[in-house]
Amino acid sequence: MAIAFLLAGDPTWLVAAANLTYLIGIALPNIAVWLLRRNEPDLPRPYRASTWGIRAGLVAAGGWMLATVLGFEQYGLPTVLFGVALAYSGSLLYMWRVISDRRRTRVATHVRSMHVKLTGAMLAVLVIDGAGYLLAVDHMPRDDAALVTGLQDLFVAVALLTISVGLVLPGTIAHSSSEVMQSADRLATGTLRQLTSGLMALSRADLAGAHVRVIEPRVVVHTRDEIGAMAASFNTMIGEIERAAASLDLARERLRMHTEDLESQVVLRTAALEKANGELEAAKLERGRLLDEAIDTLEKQRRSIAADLHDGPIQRLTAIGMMLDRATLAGRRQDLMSLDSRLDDAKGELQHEIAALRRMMAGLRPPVLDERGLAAAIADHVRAEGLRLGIAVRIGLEDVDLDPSAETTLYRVAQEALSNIARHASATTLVVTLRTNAVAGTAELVVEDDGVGIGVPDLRRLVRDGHFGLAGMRERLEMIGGRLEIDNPAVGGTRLRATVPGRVSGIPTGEMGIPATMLPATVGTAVASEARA
Amino acid sequence: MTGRSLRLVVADDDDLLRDMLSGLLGDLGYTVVAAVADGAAAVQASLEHRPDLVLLDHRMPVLTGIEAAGRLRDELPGLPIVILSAYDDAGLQRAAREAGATSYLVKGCTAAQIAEAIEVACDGSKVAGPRAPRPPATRPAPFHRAATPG
Repeated sequence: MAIAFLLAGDPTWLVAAANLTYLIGIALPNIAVWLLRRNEPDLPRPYRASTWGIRAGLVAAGGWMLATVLGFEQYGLPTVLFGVALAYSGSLLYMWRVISDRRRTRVATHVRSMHVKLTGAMLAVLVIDGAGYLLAVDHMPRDDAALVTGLQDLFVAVALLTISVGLVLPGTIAHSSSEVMQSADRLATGTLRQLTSGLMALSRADLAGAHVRVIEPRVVVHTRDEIGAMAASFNTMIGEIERAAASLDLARERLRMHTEDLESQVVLRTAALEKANGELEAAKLERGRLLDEAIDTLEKQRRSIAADLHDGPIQRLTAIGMMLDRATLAGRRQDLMSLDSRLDDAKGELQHEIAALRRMMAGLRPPVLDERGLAAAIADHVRAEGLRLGIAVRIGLEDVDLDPSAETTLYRVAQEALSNIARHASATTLVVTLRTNAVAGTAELVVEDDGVGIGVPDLRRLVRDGHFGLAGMRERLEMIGGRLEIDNPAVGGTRLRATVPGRVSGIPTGEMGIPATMLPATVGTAVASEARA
Repeated sequence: MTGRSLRLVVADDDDLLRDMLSGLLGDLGYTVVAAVADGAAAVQASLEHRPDLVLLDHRMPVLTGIEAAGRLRDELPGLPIVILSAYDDAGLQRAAREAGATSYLVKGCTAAQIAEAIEVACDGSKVAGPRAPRPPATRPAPFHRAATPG
């Protein structure tokens, strides 16, 4: 360049043009450094200039720009154009470098990028500005030097402004746009895709696959214009997506906890169900054994009744028939003495047999149940057992209105309970009560002793061991809709409570809902103590 | 009453009935040579007294009447046997017949029915001799059941 200057006779305009480029060259880096610090405050840097130094550079750049505007128009338009062209030559080289880099890294060359468009527009403004200047100066009278100078200053000012804005503003806008664009790209191809995958996994109940962890860097834009507002909105959107992802993660975690809780509950319920099934099976087996036992007992009873009929009434009646036959024969022989004797024998045997049949009938169903009622029947039996065993008895029995089957069942329960007490309890006192529960519509027989107590009996085990007494009681009661409870009072002994439903037609009640049958003056109503025999 | 004094063995475990049956048979003109309380004793008494007929209750201890009838069929073939049972049961009647019983009476029958059964059984046995197998019946089968009185 220096040789070219010497060969060209060291033209002053060329030196001025070079200085113009130089001034532009030293003014713009000051502005670029200021923008770089503002846009990329976190970039690593070998040297950090002080803030006042940057501000001084900006002031110097302004001064140099002003000097350019005021000082270079005197060298004429060619000088200015040449200087501007020199200044822009660097931009062309930069553009060439950017395109080369993008091609090497296979990144699309954004010919239609905002940066290119804005720079092109600025160059167009510069060209139009120059054309306007040439047209104005060439058609203006030469003697109007002041006007020409003014136009030249305006041209230079517009040119410098265009150069400055054409270089700085597109870069700034393009940088911000690029930041937003890259962030949007990451969001679309990364975060949103993860979120979608997470939601789809959740819809498939794939809790492990529904995990989404979004940490998306925010877009850093320092301008306060529309680009800045767009970046702020974009950052808000990123924040909302992060919240959505966090909510999804929380929902997934809660769902997982609920699922685990549900699974543990299912395990517990399954175990409980299996246990209940086992108990049900055991209960069915027990019921089957009891049913077999009941059928067996019934069969035994039938055999016993048949045997009793064979050995008793049939033989007696046959014998009586033979007595009568003998009486007939005696009559035919005119043996009146023998006739009388045979008839007396037959009559006596007949009375004996009638009594025997009555005893048998009483064994099948106690006649006292029909004749005097359940309370009297139980009272008689308890008193008789008390006397036989030599233990004190207290009886509190009300007349109750029950179906015959319930009466017989309660009577048999009382018999069985007293039989157990006689065999196992070693009791000294026995308390038997029978009362109605008007509210529940039930009747309740309680047999309580002060003996050794049997604890809470395991009926299943008792049945297994062949003891059917208590289990049979319970079975009898349950067959008519009643229930059996056995416990041990704190004072000792055993308390057996048998509850049966009242008559379907209802238990008659007196005032205040008290059953009329609970009124005094019925057999055994008052609690009576009977001394040991 | 019957004009001939047949010798009988009676077996019944009921004392009153046994006594009454023995007395009735005596009143009817039969001679009760032994009155016992079980089936085995009836077999033993029959072997000992060689009666003209044995009258057995069915349900007795040691040996039932039908079991005793089976023994007697083997020990004393042709001996008339009358079963006097409380059971009006076709199966028992068949079992009694198969065991060799001549008649099956149900308790409660009249004295006349008992006498008829005894006479029929003894008459049938006398046709072919006391020890020979009885011939096929030429008159109403001797095995019959007395109607239930009533």
